[in-house]
Amino acid sequence: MKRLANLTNGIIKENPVLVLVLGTCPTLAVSTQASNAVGMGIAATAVLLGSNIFISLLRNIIPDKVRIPCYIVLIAGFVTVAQMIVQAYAYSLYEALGIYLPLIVVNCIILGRAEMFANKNGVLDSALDAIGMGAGFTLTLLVMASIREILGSGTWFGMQVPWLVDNNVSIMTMAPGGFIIFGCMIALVNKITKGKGRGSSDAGCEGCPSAAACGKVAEQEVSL
Amino acid sequence: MKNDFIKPILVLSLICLVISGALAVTNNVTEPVIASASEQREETAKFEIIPDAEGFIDIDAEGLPTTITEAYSTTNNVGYVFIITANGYGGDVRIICGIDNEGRMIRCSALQQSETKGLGSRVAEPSFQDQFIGVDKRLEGVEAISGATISSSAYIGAIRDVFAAYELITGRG
Amino acid sequence: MDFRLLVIILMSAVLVNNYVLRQFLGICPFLGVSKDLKNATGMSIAVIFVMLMATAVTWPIQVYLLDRNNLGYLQTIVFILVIAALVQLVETVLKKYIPALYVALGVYLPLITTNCAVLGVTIANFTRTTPYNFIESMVNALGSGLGFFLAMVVFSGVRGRVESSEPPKPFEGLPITLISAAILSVAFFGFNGVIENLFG
Repeated sequence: MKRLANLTNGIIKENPVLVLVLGTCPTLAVSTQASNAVGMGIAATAVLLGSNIFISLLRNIIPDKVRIPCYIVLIAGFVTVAQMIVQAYAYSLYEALGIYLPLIVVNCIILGRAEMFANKNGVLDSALDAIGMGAGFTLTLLVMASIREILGSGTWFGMQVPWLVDNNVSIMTMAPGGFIIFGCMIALVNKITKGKGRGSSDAGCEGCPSAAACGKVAEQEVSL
Repeated sequence: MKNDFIKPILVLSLICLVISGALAVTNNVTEPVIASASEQREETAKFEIIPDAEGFIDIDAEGLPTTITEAYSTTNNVGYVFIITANGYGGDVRIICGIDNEGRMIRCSALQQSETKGLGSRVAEPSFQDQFIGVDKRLEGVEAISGATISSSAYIGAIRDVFAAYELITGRG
Repeated sequence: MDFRLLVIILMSAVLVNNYVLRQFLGICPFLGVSKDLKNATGMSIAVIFVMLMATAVTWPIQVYLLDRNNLGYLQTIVFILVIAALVQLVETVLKKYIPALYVALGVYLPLITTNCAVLGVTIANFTRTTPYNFIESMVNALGSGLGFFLAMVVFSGVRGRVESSEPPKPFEGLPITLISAAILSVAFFGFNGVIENLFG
């Protein structure tokens, strides 16, 4: 039962994007088209799965002092593998994701899960956590990209949506549309969870799990 | 105490080594696939520009404009294909275009571009690219996109280079 | 050296292709540290500083080490390690020799390792078909950093007003901040024609 919770937590209760507010950069950037969103989601999930499994396996070997550099190297390794595979077998996705593909390295969801979950839990639990979190990330991206693509381009996965094709609101696929839709989605989650999500508070760095990775930020911010 | 210092460095270096090794292996597998896929795409792009062509021959001429990265003639002599890189300001645009034996543009299109979305990226749209169809080196009737003059001027400049290269290769004016 | 090209690279990085408002890089600090002007300025200066340093170090590494030995695929891993080490180094040096600057910037430095804008700019220098040369890369880094600075400073002003407003309950906090970021992003559309009109 607990195992199952590890899997489902990421999808709803601890949704990485909408509740934990992590990985905002790729969420906003690649959610212009549903197909890109799914591609990005799968790539990030694969990296997360790989890094979570390996970090969990190595959690007793990696000395605490250098754990962050070790995690970063591991994650960067998986990202590069993902990059090569996408470039070789899905070139149009590679072009569409552009710089955001290598930037999965600094996606705080991945480092955050390594720090918060994988280095404290067993391999199976970490793998389930990765799949759940990845699914939550992918689903959120897909929903957001669907809204933006349908409203902004009048298409969905490239299929034309009647009427909207000729009456699209192209600002939705541009930068402001990303901010607006993201804001509205977090507001909706706030409404449903009655303000339990972190989205209702300020997105300060204190709440970011990478803050721990950043060193002393958490305590220093207070002393400011 | 000594162990406290050495162990972290050792583990980190080991992880770096193992990861680099794994990447080298993956790279060995994917590199040929990436290379052949990229060749395939350029080949398809060339045939899209001149569908009548039976095959393409690489031209290696001296003194071509530096923007021209590749030049091809056709085996059945129906025209020439050029691949050029034009510098915009948000990035650069790779353009492929074909010229027939009368010195007229058959068609040109952007292979890839990283211009600002919705602005400079309009150079990749048919409304801009189609105006080059059938023009000769005087580029009559070709207009830059207002509000995206740098990108479109770069594109037009690249097309001029193509005609210059064409003249150089064929010796025709 | 084409001076006009350098100015175009700089201006387009600051205004037209603004990292935060156009390319969504560095959103976390943009939302997290923009609450008051002092923090926003400190963070941005640290980002500009690290971006310039990181570019100065990664450019030669990519060109002389990775490309020459056909190791281009190690780019991501090497760059992120270089940035992490660099941030650590800068922090140590500042702490020891320029304590005043450390007090001002030190807090923000560790945050920057995982700031995608920094890794972004170092990679972006090489993603073009004709990569930027060293000077162009440095100018691009400076422009991207200044763009981040501009977005942060302007947004900290906007946030001052937003904080005192009373939006509908579910919109309180992050959502209303994002909506105001959207409006600022629309405002930046106004810069679209600037470069074209100045240099076209």
